[in-house]
Amino acid sequence: MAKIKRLRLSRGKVTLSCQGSHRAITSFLNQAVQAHLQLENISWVSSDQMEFTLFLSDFYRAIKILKKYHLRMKIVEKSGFPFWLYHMKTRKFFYLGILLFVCLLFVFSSFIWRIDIKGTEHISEELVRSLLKQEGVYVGQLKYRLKDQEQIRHRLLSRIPESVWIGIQIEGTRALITIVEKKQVEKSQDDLPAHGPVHLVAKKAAMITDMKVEKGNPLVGVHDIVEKGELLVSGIYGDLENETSGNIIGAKGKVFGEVWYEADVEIPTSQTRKVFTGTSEKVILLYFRSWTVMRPFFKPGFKNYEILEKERPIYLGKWKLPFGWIEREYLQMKETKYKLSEAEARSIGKRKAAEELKQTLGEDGKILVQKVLHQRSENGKVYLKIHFDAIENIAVPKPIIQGE
Amino acid sequence: MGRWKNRLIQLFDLPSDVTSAETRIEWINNSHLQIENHQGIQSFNANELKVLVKNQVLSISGSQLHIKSINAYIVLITGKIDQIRYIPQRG
Repeated sequence: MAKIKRLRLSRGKVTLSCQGSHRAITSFLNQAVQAHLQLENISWVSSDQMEFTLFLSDFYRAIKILKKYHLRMKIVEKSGFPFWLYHMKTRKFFYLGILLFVCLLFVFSSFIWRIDIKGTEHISEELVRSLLKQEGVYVGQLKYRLKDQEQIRHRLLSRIPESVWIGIQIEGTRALITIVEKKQVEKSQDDLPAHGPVHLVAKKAAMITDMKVEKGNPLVGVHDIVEKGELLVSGIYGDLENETSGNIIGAKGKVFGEVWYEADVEIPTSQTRKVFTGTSEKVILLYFRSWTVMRPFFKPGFKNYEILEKERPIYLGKWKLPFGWIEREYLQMKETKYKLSEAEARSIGKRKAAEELKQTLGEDGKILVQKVLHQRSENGKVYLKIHFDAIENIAVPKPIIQGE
Repeated sequence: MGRWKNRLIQLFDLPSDVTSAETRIEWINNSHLQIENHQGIQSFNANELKVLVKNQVLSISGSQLHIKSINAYIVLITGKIDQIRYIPQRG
């Protein structure tokens, strides 16, 4: 089947209005068609006036025919690429300006204009800046000439030993360097030379199980039972009674002792837990920057739910546009109640108590024995009394006061 | 030539509209009408349009008639088309 081709804008279209007798216009129509002109949107404006559209390239041929039939014509509308081109030529500088603006915007946004360093307290910013410069991150650098960020990160990390983590983010024309510093370990008290040389004394009553003395004169041995405040390692060599005789060297080391602890724990036996039922509903929300177009009339068909959101920004090439959509999923939740048996409550309680104790014992501590002394359930709760045998560092420094 | 062509069409059992200058009318709903192989417009206004086809006159009547597109072979008419009929030729 033959298909009529539509006029295309790329070739330019002209809408003409011609005036004359009805007969003359009809004859013109036939003549134009015989001459292989393509006409479109032919309609009568009034009884002696007709409008039609044709290709710009056919315009002069149409005019010739119009003249033959003594029709008066008027151009109603011009559209299409050739006319735009002409328009652009007459307003050259305006369009050049637009082009220049876009180019400049592109050029200037491809430099790094600012480097912000966050999180430096002990590390000097100057040092970070100079290291960054060596890695090719400096103000005025072209963004696409930046090296692989992962590589820069690794190299910086190794060059700045005080840092734990370094993040590099390029936000538009700003480079944001985030540094997480190592926590300055508060020097453990026996390292503190602030008070001068120290003795080591017992923190609490314990039985000594192990001693690691680096410096000083140990006064107690393994299996000794010590009281709180008892001198464990002396910082003075030589005769204790005669203080002036020995060298004051200071004590350093660790003394491990076995300590008893008691803990009271209570565990409720009825507990509620949230469970997903598997039903979910999805809504799509649009957002622009931080504004989300909410849908106030949407409500999931269930009461208890958890919200899961996924952001879907729109990318233009590699640029993330400030708008996009959010897929928000409402997941139905169900609260299930369940009862713990006493045995379960007991094991949970034991675990909880052990974890708590481990935190107070510190890194040198260790739990030897855990024993439930007493167990009682009342008012839907299980009460436990737990005994611990633990080993921990019981040595604390005590300054040597001379002339005592 | 015409005779040979007709023989060929019969020999290969071809549909006649693809091969020759037969009038072919396609009427979509009552709003679009496409006439292939027309031979010119005889008269045209918003209510009636007369198209010459194969030495006959085809009259299209309706309201708000409008020639959407026309070239030497095809004419596409839009509007509210009520009827199409051939006007008997005198003589």
